[in-house]
Amino acid sequence: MEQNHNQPNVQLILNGDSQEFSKLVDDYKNLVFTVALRMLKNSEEAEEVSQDTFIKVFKSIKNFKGDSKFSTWIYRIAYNSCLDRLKKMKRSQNTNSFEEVPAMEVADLNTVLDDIDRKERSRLLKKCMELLAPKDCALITLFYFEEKNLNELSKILNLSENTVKVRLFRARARLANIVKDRLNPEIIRNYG
Amino acid sequence: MDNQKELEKLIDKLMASDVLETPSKDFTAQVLEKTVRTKSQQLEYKPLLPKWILSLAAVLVVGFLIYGVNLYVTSGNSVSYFKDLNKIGIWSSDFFSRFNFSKTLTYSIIISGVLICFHSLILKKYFEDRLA
Repeated sequence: MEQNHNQPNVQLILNGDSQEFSKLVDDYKNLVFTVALRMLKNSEEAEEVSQDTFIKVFKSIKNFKGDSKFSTWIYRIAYNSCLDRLKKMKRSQNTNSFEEVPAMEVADLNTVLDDIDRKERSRLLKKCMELLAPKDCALITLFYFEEKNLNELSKILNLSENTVKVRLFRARARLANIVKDRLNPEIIRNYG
Repeated sequence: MDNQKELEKLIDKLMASDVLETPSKDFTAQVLEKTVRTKSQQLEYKPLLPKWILSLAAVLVVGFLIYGVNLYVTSGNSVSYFKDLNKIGIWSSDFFSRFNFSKTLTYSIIISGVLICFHSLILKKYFEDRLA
């Protein structure tokens, strides 16, 4: 599920090579759109913000210094654009309250997931993401699609690595709580 | 600690089946279209002075020329034309000599002029950075 991207040729894009830029858009559009969709919970808005992200990339590509990976830079622009949109629409960016899931319940959920086929798991995840707070969605999605690299993730979110670790743990717990609520309690008991 | 590991295992398992969403089919084409529009906006020529100021200046210059040529033609020689120009010079020096500026005001005007020039440089850099 990790994304493999070729490093784009910045010089060619700066020289006006639209094919190189279109290759760049094709490479990154899916993850940018997924993050936007999960944060904004609206397909049209997500598409608009994703397009704005690439326009910003195009306008400021000459400022890309190469201190971080190109993907990190793009996802940072995308994440900040989504936060700006949420702020503009006066929608909450806050996470749900943190509640730890007891170890036994986590173990039961693990067993249940083993018996659910991949398609069904994917559907379940999609539903649960809709209920998860925007920042948690971005954190989890970027972590799992960006090689689980805490260093890059901390650059995208502009947080320290330790803060990212703590937030990731909490986001996982919140997602587990949503999964638990969405699955039929009886099914969990039967598997447990 | 065990709970944390179990939780990690659970979410890892769930996320392993995650698939990326795809935007609309013409997403890339739309982005490229917008970039072309952005480029043409950046290159659009905007005159430094508004059109009406340029027109006014042109009217004044043409008017002055017509007046000059008219004088030259009616008097029959060029000396009269320059005499008239000289008259204007004398009149303007008489006119301005009536004003008496204090040193403080003169220095203030000079300093303001320097500051305006300095400020315009900063503004120019700011707008160049913003539009780049």
